Amino acid sequence: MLKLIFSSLVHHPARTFLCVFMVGVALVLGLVIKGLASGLLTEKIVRTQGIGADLMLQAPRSSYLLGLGRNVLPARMAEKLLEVEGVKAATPVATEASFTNRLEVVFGIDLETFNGVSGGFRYVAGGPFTGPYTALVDDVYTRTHHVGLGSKVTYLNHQFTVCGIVEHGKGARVFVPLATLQDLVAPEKCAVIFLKCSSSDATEVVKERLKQFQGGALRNYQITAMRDLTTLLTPSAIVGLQEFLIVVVGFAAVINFLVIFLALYTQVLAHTREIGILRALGATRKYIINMVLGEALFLGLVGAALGLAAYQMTKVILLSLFPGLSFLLPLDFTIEVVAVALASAVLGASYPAYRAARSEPIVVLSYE
Amino acid sequence: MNETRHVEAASPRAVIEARGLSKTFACDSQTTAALERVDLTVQQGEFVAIMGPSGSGKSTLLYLIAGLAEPTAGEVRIDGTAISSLPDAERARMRSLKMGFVFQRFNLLGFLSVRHNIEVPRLLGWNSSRKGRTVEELLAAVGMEKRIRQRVSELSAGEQQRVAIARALINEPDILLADEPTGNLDSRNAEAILDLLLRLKRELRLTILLVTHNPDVAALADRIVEMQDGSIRREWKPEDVRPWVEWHRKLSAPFPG
Repeated sequence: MLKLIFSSLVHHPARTFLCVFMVGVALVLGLVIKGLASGLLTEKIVRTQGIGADLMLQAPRSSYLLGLGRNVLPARMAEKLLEVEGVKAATPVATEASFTNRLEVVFGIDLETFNGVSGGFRYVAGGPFTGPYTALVDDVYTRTHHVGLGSKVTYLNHQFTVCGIVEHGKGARVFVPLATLQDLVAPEKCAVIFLKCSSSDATEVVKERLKQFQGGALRNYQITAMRDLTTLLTPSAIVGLQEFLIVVVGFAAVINFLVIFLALYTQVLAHTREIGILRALGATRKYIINMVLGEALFLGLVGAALGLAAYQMTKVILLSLFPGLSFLLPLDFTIEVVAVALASAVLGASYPAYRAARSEPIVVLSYE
Repeated sequence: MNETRHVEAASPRAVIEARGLSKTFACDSQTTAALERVDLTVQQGEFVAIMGPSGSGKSTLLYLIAGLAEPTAGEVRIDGTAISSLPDAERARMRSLKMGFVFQRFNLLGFLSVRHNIEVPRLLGWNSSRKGRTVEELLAAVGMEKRIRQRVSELSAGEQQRVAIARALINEPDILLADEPTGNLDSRNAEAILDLLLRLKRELRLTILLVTHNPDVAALADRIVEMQDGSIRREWKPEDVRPWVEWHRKLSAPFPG
């Protein structure tokens, strides 16, 4: 049967190519969107965890995506939290999402206490803040924004001079002095307080103590262990993203279904005689059905392989154009999407297969 | 080619038996009777030609015997087994192993080479335990051994029919069903194909049931069945159709220059 399927596919190269191409295109759409969403989220988690804190304290019902939360916490609270047993260091961070050129989250930090929690930046060039309107940027930012030491960057309608370039992985890509950001957006406030515990093993205990602190004043605050971010920051945690992905995969499945259906249906209509010949030579209806479904499965498989290859190619191209992007394609999602592609291909071939098996050799072969 | 078959030849048996065979086709609200109560018996090793005008039911009879359609009434027995009452898979199996089919329009698969076209009946999965004839042997038998790798679209009509005959014989069938096998060939190629069929019949002791319009072809058979309006009108011996042959030859002859 395989010989017949392959020969038929090779004999109709344009049809085969178009089918495979369309299945691949439909697939790559879902893969790129999912890869990008997962990659950016994971990269965000890794960067946030890279700060080195054990806990972070936010206002109730704040987003885990730093930069989306509001600066409503009193920054002085950080000093107060040092009184909690087991808290070794605490640092307030004001955040602001800037849309000047592209979405960028800026951290307003108190360098001394931030270093106390994070262990300090590694400077690639330059050094700490030299004035209120100076900024630290990470090495990825210098590549994506083509800036260097002494360059001017504009945030919140103010120009900052880049005074230091640091290794990436400490929360944000741009850091400005906390006091400056507070003056610009929320005086004396911050969005999050990062806490370093005396021992990482004591995180849960310290979390409980924080909730009890000062008669339970922080009971309703959002206190998160940094190691839990991996499970908290998923596409399903972002409203609409999961649904969007389902719609994209659904569309891909519909496109696959239609492409395979049309290609194989026209093939069956155009080749009723060949089907009749096979029946006359001893092929059962089941054999004909399996042959048409096998062809669809093969088209789906090659299309899926092409889709995966196209995803890798798209990833390389996008990363070379936008180094700040990040891709991560979870294996379970990949398997799910490929399974949907194959299932829709087989489903699309079901009616043509049924139609082919139903054709009467006596009708298609009669010639008098 | 096969010694055991010569031994069996001593006691011929009925390999094809059609009893009260009728077939009605329904189209829209009308029904057309293509066959009406046909009885036909073909002995092992016999060559029977079915003649008759277009629409007389010749091909329908052939396809019912092959189990490619179910009769409206009556039954077909192949080697004693009622093929018409078998399920689809069993009918397909019997068709693949017991019968070879040769068509007027050759009906080769254009996307396959000569070799793969001949192999198709084996690809259908019925004869995995049989060793059978090789493609090379069959191509040598039909005089096409040098064209094994070619696409069938590159062959002449006569060559295509030879490949179709080789394909029909790959599973070593007992019965060869041929629907106007020379209908699309010029007289020289037609003659060569008929010679080939007669030789294969002798060597393999094939039972041949052949549909034709051509009295020249029918005259080569052991027995001629004449059909009209879906029924068998009468049977002829080859010598009975000689006047037809002469008449047909005169009609077919080119006009004098």
